[in-house]
Amino acid sequence: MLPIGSVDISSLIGNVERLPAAKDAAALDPDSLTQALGTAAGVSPTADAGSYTPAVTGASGAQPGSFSQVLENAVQEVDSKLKAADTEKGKVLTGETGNVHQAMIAVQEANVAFSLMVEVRNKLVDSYQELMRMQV
Amino acid sequence: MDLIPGVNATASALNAENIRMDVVAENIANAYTTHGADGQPYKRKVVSFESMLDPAGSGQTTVQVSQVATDNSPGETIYDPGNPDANKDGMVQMPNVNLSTEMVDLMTSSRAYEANLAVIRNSRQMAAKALTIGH
Repeated sequence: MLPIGSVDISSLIGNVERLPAAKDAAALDPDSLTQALGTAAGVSPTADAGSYTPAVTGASGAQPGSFSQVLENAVQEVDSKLKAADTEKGKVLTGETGNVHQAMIAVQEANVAFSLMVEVRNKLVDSYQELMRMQV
Repeated sequence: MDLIPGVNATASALNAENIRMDVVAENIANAYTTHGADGQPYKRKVVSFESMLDPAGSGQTTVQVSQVATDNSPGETIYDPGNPDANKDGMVQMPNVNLSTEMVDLMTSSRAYEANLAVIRNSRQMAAKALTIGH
């Protein structure tokens, strides 16, 4: 483990890296995602990015507004979009509604939201790898 | 979180065009119906749209079907004494559906639908392109 400041970045990244493969959207398990992010070390950014002061809360329990909480909310929003898309698809397939476009729009929205989440994850992993390359 | 810009307005327009297509289909299907539920020849229906503020609260101006009205203009009368709906002179009152008009409506509706699909496609591409910032 490499403590930077007092935030255990490697454990945070380790949790993020255990997220399911990006391509496997269908088998996405929201519980494992939120669990992985929830157990990550809590970093509490203040609302103002200019005076950003990471406050470490330890590995247990994320405070509201903390970094892991923000991530968890984002993941839950992506998950709710995927679920909404599933519901719309089900409605079309069972003949409950003929609005194919609504189902397709929901699927596309879920797709974009998921890509956004994957990009955020990639950025986290990239920054970890950048730190790992640092000369000591 | 609205990731695809303008999606609510476009979705409502697709819905409205769907309904217009339904009505055109009804009109074409009943172009030769001389005996409706009220015993009268079929009367063609006309769709009118109205704009409304998005009920989902996105602030976009969406579109909805305000009413499906009945066109009461008289249809043509043809001579067909064998028709059970013929009057004592052998004349039959036909519906006021003009197939050419309906086909034009069909094309308009179809093109409007395509236009809205193009909006969705482009919005999605914009969102996807934005995600490649930094690559």
